[in-house]
Amino acid sequence: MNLIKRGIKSKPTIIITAILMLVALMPLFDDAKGSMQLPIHLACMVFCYIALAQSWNILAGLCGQFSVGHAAFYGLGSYAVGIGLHRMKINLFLAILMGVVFSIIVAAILGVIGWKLSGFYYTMASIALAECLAVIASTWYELTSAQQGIAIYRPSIPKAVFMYMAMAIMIATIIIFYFIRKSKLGTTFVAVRENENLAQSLGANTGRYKMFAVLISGTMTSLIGSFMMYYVQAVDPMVFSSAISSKILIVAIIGGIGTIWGPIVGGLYVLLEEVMRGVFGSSFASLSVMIVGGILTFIMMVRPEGISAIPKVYKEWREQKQSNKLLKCEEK
Amino acid sequence: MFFEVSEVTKSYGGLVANDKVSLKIDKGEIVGLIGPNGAGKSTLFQMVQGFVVADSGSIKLKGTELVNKPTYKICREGIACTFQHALLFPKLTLGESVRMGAYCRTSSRKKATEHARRMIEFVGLTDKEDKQINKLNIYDRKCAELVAALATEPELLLLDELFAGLNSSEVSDMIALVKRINTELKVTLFIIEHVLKVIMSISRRVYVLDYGKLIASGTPQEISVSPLVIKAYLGEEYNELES
Amino acid sequence: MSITSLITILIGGICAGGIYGIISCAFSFQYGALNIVNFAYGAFATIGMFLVYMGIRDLGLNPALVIITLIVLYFFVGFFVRKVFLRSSDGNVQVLITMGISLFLQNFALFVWGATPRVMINVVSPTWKIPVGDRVIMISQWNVGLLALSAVILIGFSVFLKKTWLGMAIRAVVQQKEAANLVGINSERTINVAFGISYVLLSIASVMLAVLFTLETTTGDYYRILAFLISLIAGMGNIKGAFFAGILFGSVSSAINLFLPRYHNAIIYVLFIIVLMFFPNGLFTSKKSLARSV
Repeated sequence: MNLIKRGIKSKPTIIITAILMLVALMPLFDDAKGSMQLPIHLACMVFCYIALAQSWNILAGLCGQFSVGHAAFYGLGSYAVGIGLHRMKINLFLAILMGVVFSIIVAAILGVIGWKLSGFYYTMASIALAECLAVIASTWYELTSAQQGIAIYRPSIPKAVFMYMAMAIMIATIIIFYFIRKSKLGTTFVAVRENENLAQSLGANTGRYKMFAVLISGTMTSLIGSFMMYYVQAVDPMVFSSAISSKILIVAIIGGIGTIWGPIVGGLYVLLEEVMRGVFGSSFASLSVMIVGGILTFIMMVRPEGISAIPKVYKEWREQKQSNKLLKCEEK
Repeated sequence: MFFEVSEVTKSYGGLVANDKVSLKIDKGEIVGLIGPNGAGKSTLFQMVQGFVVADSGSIKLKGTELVNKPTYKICREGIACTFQHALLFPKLTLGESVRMGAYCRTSSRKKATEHARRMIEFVGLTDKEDKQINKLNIYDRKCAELVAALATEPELLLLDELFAGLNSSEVSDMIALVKRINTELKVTLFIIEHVLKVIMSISRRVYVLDYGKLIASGTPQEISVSPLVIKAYLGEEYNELES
Repeated sequence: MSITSLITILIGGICAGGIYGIISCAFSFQYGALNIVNFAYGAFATIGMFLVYMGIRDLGLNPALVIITLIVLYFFVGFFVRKVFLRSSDGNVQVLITMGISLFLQNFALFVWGATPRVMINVVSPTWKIPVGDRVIMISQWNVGLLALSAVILIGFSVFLKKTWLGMAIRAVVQQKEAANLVGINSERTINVAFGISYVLLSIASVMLAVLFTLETTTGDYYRILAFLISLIAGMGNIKGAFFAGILFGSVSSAINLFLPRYHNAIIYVLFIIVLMFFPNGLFTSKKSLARSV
């Protein structure tokens, strides 16, 4: 209980809550022309990507298992809804469940690979899974309509409703992240990331924990992917692309990898990308992905820990100045 | 027999790291393992911990065979260790690192935190509990690694060159701490060490490895005058000079 | 499908194996020996292919000139990439940096050259025809030439590492960086040079790929996985193994193309996953690393 009280009272939480409340009020200002529709849509996407990033954060930020193919789970969740509603004519919840089941299978494969291997092997495996699914999605016409993708019909629901749901999902992922981090699970995840051998010699079955991490993360990502597909009503093979994986990555890393605030700050990146898309137009998709690549490289070269390292750097700079001052006083 | 290594052998290609090594440790003892660099001491420790699997031979703690067991199971059987470079968990705090050890025996966050706190008090690092490991100095980091290992409630604790890099007053403090671990916490200790002051002052018995073979064993005094040991460390010519 | 056509196609696959061997060798060298994670490997291969195409077909320049320019250019590209981008030794950071580069390059290629597939060589290669009964086994002479050339290049690389001073310096740095520094070898620069040399191999492979296969801007990801997969089969860092693993892969690849061409890439990815799950140390476990096996 203490932890929750401490978390809620902290300054960043108050700021974020204030911003969320403002955003929640946006639909009230909407008029007949729908002038708030775009901001509502943007807010919804921002919340969704923050949620995706938090899910990835659990696997990679906390546990250190760098999955660069998270789009695999996202895409499975999306296609499950598409195929389920459009082809198999099952209800929505069954479709979402189907997505989760397949994501768990894929996550388990990754978990098995990650049991003994790490680093580059794991990363390559994650991207191989995503690309494998991408190829299957683009060639298995009977199931996925290949490049055309799948579009679904659903009852007309106001965008604002989706925005509120996305907000709830985002808050849920943040809470899940928080409680995992404070628990034995989270402590072990970080221990595995920092020094796996030591974690083992302190009694943790690290392979199993790595498996937990990918199962949890994959399931969460799949659920969010299903939600987003239902909102957007369309899916195509690009949903497995490394552009999406990278986007999730960037959102998670830009604010500070492994921290709970990282993905939240990273949500701003989604806004940036949407602006870029507005400027360049969708015919210049490759140009915008080029810029995504450039940004990723730039961030990782300049400050791999992400932007929220800035307060830390600032603190260290101030401490340095203090100690310099003290030295000068002593000299006198 | 509390802890027994029998005829353990490990080779890497043509290199024999451990050649039919056998040794015994009684409950409550402090036993040292010394030998020149490359003698195979760390390999033996790695096999006891389960990071490396012996080619042949057996390692038993209270009658339970440990060879082929994974490391985390060996920890749960009651063997813990510290590593040479005291890397620990750089981004975790001291408290959380020790809690990681406590989680070996309980899944409750509350119990683990309490147990960790008690262990940290035992070594006197309570004021540093919330500091990040990578911000601690080397002495505190070594203590931290010690405490994390102790939090797993081990029966046998392996110390791999714990005293390396410490100045002489730190060495004395650490010796006192190690003795307290042995007497107050009733932990049996198996120590690899190059700092002879340590071996001499706290081990009841010492084993000596050279080129993978056990060449001598006995009390510290016996070892220090054994010609075999002197030859191993200083070479053939020194032995001839002596005689 | 007659046996002779089967054999024809299989032989074609085997000959392509030489190229796969070089692709794998360069990658294996980067990851196995230099411990550098290069996510943009495939993207550079693709760009190399398109540069060759552009030089020979669009600009009409002398092919030999284009090829030599590419090889020299790629040495400096490799040197530059390592020097500027890959200074951190943290594997995850390298992955992300090279991933950014990969995204940038692949989409740059897409932007510049578009999605239409192209073929560089429209002339059919002269073929040897071996009559078997009333059917014929056809062996493309150029394919055999490429295979022989690949073998020569790989042997050359092997000899380079073993016998030349630079090769020995590279092996020294790979084994013991600090010790190499102590004996007067500039480790950082040596690794940069070594990386550049691996890019030379990569560019040679690009040229061969452009000769044999259809050029598509989206193939970067595929070549990356290919390189990793074949390196795994050969054993990371194993040059001699790379050649034979490449040939093995070439035959398997043509066999798949025969029966399930639509799913070829997906099957390769699945094979990759299977190899990672069950044979992470390679199919022909060669525990020796590059520096020691050469």
